[in-house]
Amino acid sequence: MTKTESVITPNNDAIVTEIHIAAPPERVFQALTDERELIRWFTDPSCPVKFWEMDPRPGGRYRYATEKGTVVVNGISEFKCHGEILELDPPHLLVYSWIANWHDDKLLPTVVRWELTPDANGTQVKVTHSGLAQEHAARKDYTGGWPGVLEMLKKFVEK
Amino acid sequence: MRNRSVTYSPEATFQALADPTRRAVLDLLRRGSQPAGEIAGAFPISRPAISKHLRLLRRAHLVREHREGRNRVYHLNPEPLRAVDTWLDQYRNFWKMNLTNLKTFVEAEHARETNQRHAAKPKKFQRRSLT
Repeated sequence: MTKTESVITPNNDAIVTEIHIAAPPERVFQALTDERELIRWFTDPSCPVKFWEMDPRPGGRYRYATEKGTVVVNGISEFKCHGEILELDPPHLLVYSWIANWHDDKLLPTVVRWELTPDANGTQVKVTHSGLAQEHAARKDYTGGWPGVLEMLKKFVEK
Repeated sequence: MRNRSVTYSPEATFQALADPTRRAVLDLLRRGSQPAGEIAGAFPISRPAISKHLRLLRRAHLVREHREGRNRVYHLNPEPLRAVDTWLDQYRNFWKMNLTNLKTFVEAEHARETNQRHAAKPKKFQRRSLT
C-alpha cells in the first residue's frame, strides 16, 4: 500500500514528504540522477515532461520542461525548472537548487533535498523542499527565519 | 492566484509575515477589527513603527482599512493567507505525486532486474546428502 506523509515543519518554510520503496538505496539513487530514468517517472499525464537533463556531479546542472498541459499554476502551463547540484553523497543524499518558472520570483533559488535511508525492507525516501518563502538577502525588512508563520497560516485557514 | 483585480503573491505574503510584530498585529485583528490607536497601544514600539507595519500589511492585502469618524479602523483580510495555503498545497501534492511515481518506477525496475539476474544464473547442481 502506498503511503505518503506530508508535513510542514512549523519552524521553517519547508515541505517534507516521505515514502518507503522496496528496493536498495543505490537503485533509488539511480532513478533520481539518471536523466533516462527521470523522464520515465518525474512526469505526469496532466503536463507531460518534454525532456530531462541532469549532470549528477557536485556543481552539475539539471533542467526539465513540460509540454503545455491541463494544469495552470500562476498563469503558467508550460513548466520549466532548473538548478545546480549542491550536495551529492551517493546513495544517501542529493541536494539541488530548484528555480521554477511558475514561481512569482522566477530567479528565487529554492532547495530540494533527497535523503535515502536503508532499512530491512528497502529504502525510506524523504524529500524536503525549502526556501519557498525566502526573500533575497538584500531586502531590508526581512528578519530571517520565521518561527510560527506556518502555524499562523494554519490558524487562519482552518478558521 | 487572483481575486478580481488583485493578485496575491505568495512571496509578498511571506515577506509580510516574516516579521513577528506584523504577525502579532494579524493575531490581534483575528479577534475583530481595531482602530489604529488601539493597535499601537497593544505594542511597546513607537506609533510610526506600527504605522510602517500596517502599511506593509495593507500593501500585501492582509489588512484593509476604513474610516469610522476620525478613526482609521483595520480589519483582517484572510484571502492572501488562503492563497498561500493553496499554493503550498499544490507543492505538497506535487511532491506526493512524484514520490508515488518514483516508488512505482523503482519497484517495477528492481523486480524486473532481480528476476533477470535469477533467470540468468546457471542452475546450481544441487548436492543431496547421502542418507
